[in-house]
Amino acid sequence: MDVMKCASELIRDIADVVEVSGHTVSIHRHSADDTGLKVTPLRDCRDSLPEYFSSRVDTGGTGVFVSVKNANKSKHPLAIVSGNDAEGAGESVVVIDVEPENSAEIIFIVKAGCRTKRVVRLGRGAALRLKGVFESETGGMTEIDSEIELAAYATIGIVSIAVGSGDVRSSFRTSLLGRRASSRHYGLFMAADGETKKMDVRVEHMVPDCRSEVTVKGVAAGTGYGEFSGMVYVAPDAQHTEAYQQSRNLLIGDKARVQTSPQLEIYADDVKCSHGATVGQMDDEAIFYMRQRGLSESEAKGLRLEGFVNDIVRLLGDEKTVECVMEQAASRFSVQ
Amino acid sequence: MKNILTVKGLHASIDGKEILRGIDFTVNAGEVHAIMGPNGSGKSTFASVLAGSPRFEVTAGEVTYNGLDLLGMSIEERARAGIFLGFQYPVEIPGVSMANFMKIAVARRREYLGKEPLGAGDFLKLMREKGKVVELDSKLTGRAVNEGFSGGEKKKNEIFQMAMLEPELAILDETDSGLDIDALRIVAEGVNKLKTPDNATVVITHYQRLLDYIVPDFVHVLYKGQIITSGGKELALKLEKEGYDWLIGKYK
Repeated sequence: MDVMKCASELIRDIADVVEVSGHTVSIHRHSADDTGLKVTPLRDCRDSLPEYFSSRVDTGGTGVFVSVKNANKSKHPLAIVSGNDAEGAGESVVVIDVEPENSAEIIFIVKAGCRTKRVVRLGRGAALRLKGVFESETGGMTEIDSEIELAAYATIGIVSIAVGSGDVRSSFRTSLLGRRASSRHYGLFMAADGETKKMDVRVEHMVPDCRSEVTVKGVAAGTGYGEFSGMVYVAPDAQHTEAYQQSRNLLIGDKARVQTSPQLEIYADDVKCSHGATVGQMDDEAIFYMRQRGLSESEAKGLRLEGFVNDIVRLLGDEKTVECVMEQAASRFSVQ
Repeated sequence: MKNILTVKGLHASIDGKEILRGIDFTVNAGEVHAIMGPNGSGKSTFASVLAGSPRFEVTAGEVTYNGLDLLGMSIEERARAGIFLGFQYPVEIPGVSMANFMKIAVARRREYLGKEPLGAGDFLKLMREKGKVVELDSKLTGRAVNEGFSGGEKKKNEIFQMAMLEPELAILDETDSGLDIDALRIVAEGVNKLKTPDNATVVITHYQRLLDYIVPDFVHVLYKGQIITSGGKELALKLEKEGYDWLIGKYK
């Protein structure tokens, strides 16, 4: 079963599901509990949408407005599935407003060939876990654009995973606008033969005392191409910033390529920042070691690959989803 | 006595440079052999070639293992057939748990031996039981393979894997290097516990120290890719006292 199908089916067991598909929006409640997450199709709230959002997105388009207010602490997550409708209209907007001191978990599943724009605002002390699985099919480019702003003491944890077939471009811009705001982003992209996967992650430290961490892993196999563009921007008065950025990549085969540029742009002088990137091949010594214990070459390589990606995939949390993504990764990247 | 390994005229090279230059070597069931020799004499290469390392090219010679043509077998076929190499530098494999790794390794070995697969419960029991052979902390077996292990833990972990796989021929490449005296004793006692009349052990070492614990039946000196002399355990003592010069003088 492909990741998409498996994830969209699994998700109904654990979450309220909102499907945004072309021109239609449908909502399936997982249970009758009121989670405090209010989901409204954009077309029904054009006039009441906070100006913050209406100035940033095309309110005439398809999409949903998620308001997190008086949220009962994450009874279960909300899943937003974006896909094409029959006419192939695949552009959608997701707007998320997490009010001060509220918390939520939102899972994104983005289907093939979609373009999704997300605008997220976290109020003071709010917390959001954003987990995304991006899927695409050969021939279609899936694009995800996220703009996220955090007020003081707000925290966001992002997990973004692109392991399906086809091309994906995802970009994130996270702005830390209030003191002690923090963001953590864990990403994984896997580009098999003929595919392109790109992940852009920009973090902006606009005020002092904020913390950010970005770890993105990439795998490219066959003629696959992966790209990571990272940027940590530290504004002139954003002293005591802590920002860490890491890009780790694994190439399988001689024709696979990864380009990585973890960049820092720092205008404050009292900060702790680091960045690093590695691009490595399947390590011959490790493969020899495992084969010496009786594993076949493909078992050894598969295990090595699994070991490389599983710390990121595990962050998806739900065990079945993790299993399903790992299986997809293993089967599409079975290395002979 | 059952023959396990026969090596005849083995030559091997790396990048065109010849390292092994005609090794003859025989191991029978129940025996412990020690291979000694100065740095760069080809001891580790010999071990790697027997395990099938792709880094070396065998240019001449033949190796028979339990009646099989060893040089015609893949790395994993050799392992499944019961050849175990204890690595001098055990490799760290991030993100791969010891349990997952050993589960596959044990399953392949059992398949080869025609044994039924182990159930999950029995496998965990086996892990616990074999961990005791080298006093390996059970927490280590839940961690990634060798990742963050100390030097001593890595070597214990090698012997733990040997215990799990019950090889017929264990080749231990400098298992004593980097060990303090307590770890050395534990590792050596582990090896001794695994000894049976049906298997054999080849220990490669620089120092006589290890041979106080693992008492060899035969000691061989490898120099410039050849075994230049063989003897009993007293040879190791003589080498410890007098060095190699008296022996290798005439080969220089």
